[in-house]
Amino acid sequence: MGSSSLLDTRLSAQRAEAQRGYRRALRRFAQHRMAAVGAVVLVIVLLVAAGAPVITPYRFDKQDLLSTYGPPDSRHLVGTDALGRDMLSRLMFGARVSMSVGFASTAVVLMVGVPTGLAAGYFGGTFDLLLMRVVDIVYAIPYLLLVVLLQTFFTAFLPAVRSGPLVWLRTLNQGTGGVAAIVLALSLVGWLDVARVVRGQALALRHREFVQAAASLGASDRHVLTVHLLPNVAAPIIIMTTLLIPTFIIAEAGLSFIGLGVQPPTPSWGLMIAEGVDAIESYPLLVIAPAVVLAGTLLSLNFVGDGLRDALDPAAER
Amino acid sequence: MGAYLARRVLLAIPTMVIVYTVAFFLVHSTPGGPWDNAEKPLAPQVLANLKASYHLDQPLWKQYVLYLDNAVHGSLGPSYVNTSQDVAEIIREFFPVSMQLGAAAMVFAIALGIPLGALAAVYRNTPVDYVATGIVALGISIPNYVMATLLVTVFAVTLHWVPTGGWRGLLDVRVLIPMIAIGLRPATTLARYLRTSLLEVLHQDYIRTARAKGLAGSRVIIRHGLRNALTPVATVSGILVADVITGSFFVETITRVPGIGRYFVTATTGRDYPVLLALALLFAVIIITMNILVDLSYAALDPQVRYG
Repeated sequence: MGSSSLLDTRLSAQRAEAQRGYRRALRRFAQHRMAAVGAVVLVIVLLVAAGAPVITPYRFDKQDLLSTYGPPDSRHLVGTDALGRDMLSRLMFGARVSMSVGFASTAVVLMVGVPTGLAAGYFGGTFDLLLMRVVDIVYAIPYLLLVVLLQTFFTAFLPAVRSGPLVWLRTLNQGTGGVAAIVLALSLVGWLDVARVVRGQALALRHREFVQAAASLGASDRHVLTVHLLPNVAAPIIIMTTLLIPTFIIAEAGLSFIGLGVQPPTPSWGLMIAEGVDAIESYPLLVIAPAVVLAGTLLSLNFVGDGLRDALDPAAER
Repeated sequence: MGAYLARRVLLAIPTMVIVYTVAFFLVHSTPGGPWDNAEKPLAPQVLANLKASYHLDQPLWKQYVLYLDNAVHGSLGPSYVNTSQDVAEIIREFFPVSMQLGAAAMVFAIALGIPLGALAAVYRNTPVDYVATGIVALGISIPNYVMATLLVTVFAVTLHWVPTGGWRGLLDVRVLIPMIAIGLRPATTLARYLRTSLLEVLHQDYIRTARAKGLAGSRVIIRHGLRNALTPVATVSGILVADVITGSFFVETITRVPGIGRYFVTATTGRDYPVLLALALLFAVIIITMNILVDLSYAALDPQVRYG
């Protein structure tokens, strides 16, 4: 009984220490002024994205062919596009596409990449060799090029699926205006990068004393992986996440820009830039508005990422 | 060095074969093609003839071997869409423009990135550093197609300093916007890596020694600091080339540069699969070659590196 209460005290002390760590990280983050501004902007974009169907003044595909290329006024705060669609509403729905692609793809690559990387780094062996060989090969092809090839395949393949186990994917893709296919294409390549980074971390941790100790006390591999390795790779994973989300948002807008992304009339910032480029000399607002919104969102993400990096890794030299 | 080079080239061959295999099967399993036209379907006989002329009626493995055999002998097959030119001719016509633009963008990236990173490290935590890191934040987070559209709107549409697009060679002002739009991200990547690496180097004993023996500050930083800080930076050159290649897809499209990047984009929307396949292989060859060159350049930068 005595030993168990001692263990309890130690555990609660550990927990308190961990909490102090979080609070310290939070304070460091809040002190990072640009990161705080970025976080506020990001929250606004997320709220707009979530509430778009309710709060937009018009539907994103509502055309008013009598007032095309309208300048900003009280009815249309950011003007109207070539088909007389309200730009503000389209920008707000575009946030929905960008945010869902950014967060969904990140979630998928983490769910696949983290366990794979942990296992490869911890167990080593043939599986590890194979994984690293695949990573080497994929690194010989630019990420966006590979994604473009995959998207060319998906945009032609998915609508043609009539039966079989992939019908749900086709339905999902149609329902989301093409977002599902983008997430799939981005994740199919992206998880390798996560696996590579996590594998490196796990490899370094494998020979540390506390891991060796746990293993020699008879802890199962599962226990070592989830209790000892996973928490120790959490910080690098969070830092990586802040880089992955903007990468995916940039890729989605890029794909939509060249016509391989969302299916019109679903608005995406990239698609809106592509549509605006046609009229750039006569009516530049069409391209400026989505470009500025996209750039602002990405900058905010970058600042938030910087803040998190400083908060979680104070040892890193600035 | 010769043996090392030979080994690297030999190692690149299996990588290329796998890249080819993946790209080939991806492209060939994509349903449909440029001849699918819902409104005016082609006669079945015409379609069969078209397929026969492109060897599409043969088994997939035969096509796989045939294409590889032709590719090794320099023939990349016909384009589906542009029937007057074969793919090799298309590359010969459009690639040089992209090559020039890409080289200009790389030169711009180095000319901006190295001083930016060095200044940020030397004047660490001063306003100079903050301005430099601010530029880096912009360059890292703003994608090249946004940068290109913003540059065109400001400098071409509003200020009329340069035309909105087109291409008249490297010595024309039209090169400026695409060059900056493509090169800014690589420049800031370079600056970021160089800043970190130079900060580390400047703490080394030999830097203190160099200063202690009375060398001028700039000489210490350039000869002793930069030279040693550049070696780790060189590893990212491969990423930079990839950035320039994918950047060309978007920026050439926006600024109407008749290069291979813009052609690649039209090929994806036009479903010109042989062009897609050939260009994917071309880009992979460029990246792999670049990576080998980077590894060789270590020897030039760091005399400790010897290749056996």
